[in-house]
Amino acid sequence: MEKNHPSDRKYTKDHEWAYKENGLIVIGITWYAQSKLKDIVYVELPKIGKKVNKGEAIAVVESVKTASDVYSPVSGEIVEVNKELENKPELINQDPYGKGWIAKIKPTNLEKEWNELLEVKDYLKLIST
Amino acid sequence: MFVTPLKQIHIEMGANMGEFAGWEVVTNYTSSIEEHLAVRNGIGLFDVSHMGRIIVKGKDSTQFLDYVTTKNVLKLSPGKISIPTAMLNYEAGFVDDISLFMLDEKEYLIVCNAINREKNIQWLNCIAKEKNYSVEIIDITFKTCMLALQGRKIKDFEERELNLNIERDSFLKNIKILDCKVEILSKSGWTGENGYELILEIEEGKKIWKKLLTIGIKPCGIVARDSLRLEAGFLLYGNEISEEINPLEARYWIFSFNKGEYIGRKKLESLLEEGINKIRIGLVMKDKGPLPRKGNEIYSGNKKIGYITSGGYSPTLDKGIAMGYVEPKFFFLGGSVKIKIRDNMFEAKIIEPPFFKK
Repeated sequence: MEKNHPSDRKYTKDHEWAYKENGLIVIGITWYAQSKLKDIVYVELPKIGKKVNKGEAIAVVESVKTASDVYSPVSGEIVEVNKELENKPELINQDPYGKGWIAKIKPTNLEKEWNELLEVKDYLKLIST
Repeated sequence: MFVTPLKQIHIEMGANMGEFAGWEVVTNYTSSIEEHLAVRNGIGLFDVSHMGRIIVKGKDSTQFLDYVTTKNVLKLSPGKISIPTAMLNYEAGFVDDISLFMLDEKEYLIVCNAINREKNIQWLNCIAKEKNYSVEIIDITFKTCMLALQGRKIKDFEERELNLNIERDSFLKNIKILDCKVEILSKSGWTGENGYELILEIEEGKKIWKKLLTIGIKPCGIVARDSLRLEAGFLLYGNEISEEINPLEARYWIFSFNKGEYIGRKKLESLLEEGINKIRIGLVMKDKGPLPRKGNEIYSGNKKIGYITSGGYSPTLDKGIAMGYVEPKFFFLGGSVKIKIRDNMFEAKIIEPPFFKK
């Protein structure tokens, strides 16, 4: 399990990850989440410019089995979305931390919210129970 | 929760398990899309041990089953299956849709939906008692297992491993395949492809599961089974059919009037004169996009006209497909409607299933 969850980012109990990049927060779903969903066939992306609160549903990932909401790990504004997922939703299965990223958020309350996110060891504990 | 008797083998082979109809079953071995396509292009193997298996035997079994089911049981002979047939309630709603195997004179096997097994047994016992039929009803679900071998290339398997010939809707008893004892082998299935269903003792089932995989047949799970049956336009109990839906609404032609009195017949006959208030349709999404799912609403213009009962991804078409019910006056076959998915409207075309070409 450990090799599938990098320590350079933070996690949520709802199975999203958040990564700091040039003042923005890149988000996606975890390796564990995509392994449970399997066969992702559609991703509903958020609109650029949308203001979001931490914990708000901002995207939907649909697998053959089911549709799942993706919740924002931080508050802020959506500034970029991964357009490639429109034609290649399977990128989330193939590369959940790289090419399968979902959106970039300009955070508005990062100092407080970043500390509330889970470290990898706590996330691993969560998914192993 | 009930557990498939093959669970240990599935786990050892890396399958993912999940819940279906109160049973712990295989959801998928690898990718459900791959498994789906393996059946469309090759051969797949399913563990369907969760299906209910009920023996009905005794002096009055033929008359009794003719009274509780919708097709003519008197026309069956040993070795033949009535498939699909149904048990209706007095309002012509579905108690269940079933396969009825005539095992012998005065001995039958009902294969039914997992979700309805206990209800069906209760229903059968209740009717037998009420009408004084002398029958014995025995649940053999937990003493046996059931496998389905399905796929477009089933002929290859027939030529290599089966030196026998079974007609569609027929079955053989007590035969050997790959050196395993198969109690019942029927030419039947639920994927839209040809294939066989096998009922075996549990230990023989474990043996044959492993053997079938060594000859290159792909193990598949319930997620692929569901997308296959949806593409084929087959009705699922709890979705397209229920106690509240009748065969006319479902356009499920599983009943006959060339037989004696049976439960639901009177209501069916009066419905033929009254007409119906909803009708089953097939839907294919115009574009690749979000998937229609059970419960989504169907619109014509701005008017809500119905709802989705099953929806999902079609690996063959690479987009969403669905079945649902609309008011009969909106059954615009070949025309467009809209499906509301998470507050947005998406265009879909009303078509007649199956959703794929054979």
